[in-house]
Amino acid sequence: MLSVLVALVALIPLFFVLGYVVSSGWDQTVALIWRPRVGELLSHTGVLVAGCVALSAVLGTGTAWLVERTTLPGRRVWNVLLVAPLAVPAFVNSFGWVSLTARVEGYAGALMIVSLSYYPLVYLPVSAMLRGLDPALEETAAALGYGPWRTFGRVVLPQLRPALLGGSLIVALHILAEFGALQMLRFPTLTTAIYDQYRSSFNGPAANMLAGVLLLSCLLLLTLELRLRGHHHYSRLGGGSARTIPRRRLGRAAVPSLVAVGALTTLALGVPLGSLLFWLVTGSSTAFPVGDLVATAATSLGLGLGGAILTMALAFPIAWLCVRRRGRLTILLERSTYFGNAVPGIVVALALVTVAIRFAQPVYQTSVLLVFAYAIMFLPRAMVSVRAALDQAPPVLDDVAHALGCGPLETLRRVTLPLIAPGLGAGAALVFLAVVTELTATLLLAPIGTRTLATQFWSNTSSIAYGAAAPYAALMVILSAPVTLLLTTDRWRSMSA
Amino acid sequence: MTAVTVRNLTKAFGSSEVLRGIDLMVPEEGVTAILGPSGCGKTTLLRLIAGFDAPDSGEILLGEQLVCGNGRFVAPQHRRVGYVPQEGALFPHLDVGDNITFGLLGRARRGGHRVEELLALVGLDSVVRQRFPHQLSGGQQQRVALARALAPGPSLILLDEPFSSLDAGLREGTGRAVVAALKATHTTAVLVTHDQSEALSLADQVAVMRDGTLAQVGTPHEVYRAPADLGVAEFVGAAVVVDADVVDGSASSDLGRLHVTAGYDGGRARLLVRPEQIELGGSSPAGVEARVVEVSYFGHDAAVHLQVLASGRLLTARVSGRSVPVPDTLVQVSVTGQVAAYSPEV
Repeated sequence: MLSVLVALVALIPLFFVLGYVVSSGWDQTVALIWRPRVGELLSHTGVLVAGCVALSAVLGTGTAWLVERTTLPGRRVWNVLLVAPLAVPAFVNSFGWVSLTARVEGYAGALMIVSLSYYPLVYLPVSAMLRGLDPALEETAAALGYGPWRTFGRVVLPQLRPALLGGSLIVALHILAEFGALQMLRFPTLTTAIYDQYRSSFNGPAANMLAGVLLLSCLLLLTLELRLRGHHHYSRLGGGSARTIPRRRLGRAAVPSLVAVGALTTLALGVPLGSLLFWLVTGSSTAFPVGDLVATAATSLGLGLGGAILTMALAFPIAWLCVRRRGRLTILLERSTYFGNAVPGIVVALALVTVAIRFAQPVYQTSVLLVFAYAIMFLPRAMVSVRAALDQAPPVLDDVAHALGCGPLETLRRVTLPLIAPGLGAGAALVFLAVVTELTATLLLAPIGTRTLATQFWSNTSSIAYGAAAPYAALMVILSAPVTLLLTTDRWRSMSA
Repeated sequence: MTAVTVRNLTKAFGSSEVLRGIDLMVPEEGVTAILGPSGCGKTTLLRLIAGFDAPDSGEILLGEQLVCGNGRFVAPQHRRVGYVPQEGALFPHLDVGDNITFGLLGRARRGGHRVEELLALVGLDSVVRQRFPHQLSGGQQQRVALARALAPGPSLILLDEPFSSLDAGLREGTGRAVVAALKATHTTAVLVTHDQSEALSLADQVAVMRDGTLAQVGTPHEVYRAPADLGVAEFVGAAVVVDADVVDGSASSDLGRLHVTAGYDGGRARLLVRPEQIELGGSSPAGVEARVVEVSYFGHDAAVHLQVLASGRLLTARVSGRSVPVPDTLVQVSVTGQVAAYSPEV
């Protein structure tokens, strides 16, 4: 019951768009969608998603393999550096590049910069999976006469499929919803077009229809991933403690590998951070209004905490059902929570504005509404973590606890919670990270006078005050860094991937 | 005294009937094994006794107390029944000591005085006390799981295939240690297993389960020597089935003359011969001649695969490892002891 309610909340944006389509009628819907401009935006979005997913998958898998399975020198450091781009929001990354050269505007630049921002989303689950693979399978393949490349292609890669598909889906959904970076790189997609439409004609019909098209794309992706994943189970057979996997010696390939990984981290991390530093030091508009900075940082922190707590609270019942009572309905509930990630923040925001004005006037123009928007948008991240966490507490342990005299509450306190707490923490941290760097919904829903790091950064870059924008971006990076660092540690990684 | 009484218990999952009217009495202070092939419903029965699931109909009594049936359902945490699941299922976030004291209350839990005693009871050294479950072997995990279940002093322990994940060498020793601990604490146990030798060697009472019903309940000797029907006979051990006419407690067959257990009133019958009843090389006049096809030698004993010359029947004899015939030789075969007879219609 509770879960259904949560799913319904998560689907508010969908109802909003559907309601709009229904109320404006068939003829107008067709007229608004069947336009060359929509086709152009759709193809733009499509090639960007395809390109970025492919590039992120290659970068993420390749680097994960190098770090987890080879004798690459400095693996611990690389592991941190390869995840670190997550601490730099995509729009800050774009800012770093655009403020240096205008040549990154357009498709090629967008492809590169967005992939550089999002490949860690593939790297994390794939490297966790690589770590958990049973070495015996690869040894068996070798004994059957497979060379290293064929073994990778036919034994390792198929086992990585769930992680790779999961990571790719998240990347694709991020790109569908990406606004700040693409706006800055002047590569119009559905999402940026919706924003422009809304800005020019508040609540305009064309924008709502575009939102409908975007939602449809998201639905398509979700079903595609579900189908590709299929019903395969790649569980490890047999018990016993896992052997550590022997690493492949890189030999002469060590130097090129190092150069490749080094180049990647330079592009993904070095350029935006260097650029930020450059503007901090030399920008003509650089200023450090300490009071302002502290106040906005505090606002961001507060919203991040609130968003994390609410999102986890909403994710828990659905994840519980998914793990403990798997069925058609629960899968449907789980999938419905995915929408938030693919719907641009602005659509979530406007859907909530509409709903709030009509049904919940008192929360309009309050932080409550904003936090709800965050919850809808970041529910998928929380879901992944909570589900993984719940897998740590199989139902048989509940049975044992009951047999030993523990009631449901005591079992929760003494068995389930201690087992799932790290995973819940990881999930909350991920949501916190996302909230602190969220831009679009915040721009629209933040009550008048509420200024966050992201919105302050944005208003400064919009007026090309790069120097003034830099301190806010730096603060966002500093706030995100500890959480991102946590993601690179073993225990947390396995919980979040 | 009976520790558990189960009356006419039924349970269905969706359209599949898993339990179809189970009646079982578990006597106090003994091990009752529920033996059956996988999917016969034995684990479901155990879970109903524990209270993890509720039956569709029927009653369960623990001692004199009705815990299930007649509109009453006692939650598992109030049944005071120990439970040892497959693979132990130790709490991974707790060390061995904390696992064992999990079910104790207040001071007893924090003090942990009973840990040493319980570890000794299940045959473990006290050095494992500080270890975590992933640092233990399978057999050790299983023993800790038993100690944990015994700690609150329940009068009944339920064991769900506790040894199936252990390898053969560990299985017997662990099984014996478990039974010894149960006897020492005067605890009644219900053991679910699909392994015949485990059931026969560890249990005082064996309940053979088939398709959601109990086919036979008896001592290990009864279910092996006098199974209720040939299906049970073939499930609890290897069997040679011989068709013959029984006259005055004796039958002549292609294996020579057989002595039938009392109670079968003559006529056509199917007779149950156990492989260890087949004797080789005897000079009994009742014997028949057979050719040795193949020998599986195990050291302590051997399985000899034979073909009876006259009838062409293939059969397996189990003989001591001291004198094993050579393949392709001819041997004299006779059946010793009494054989059970069954009506051919069944």
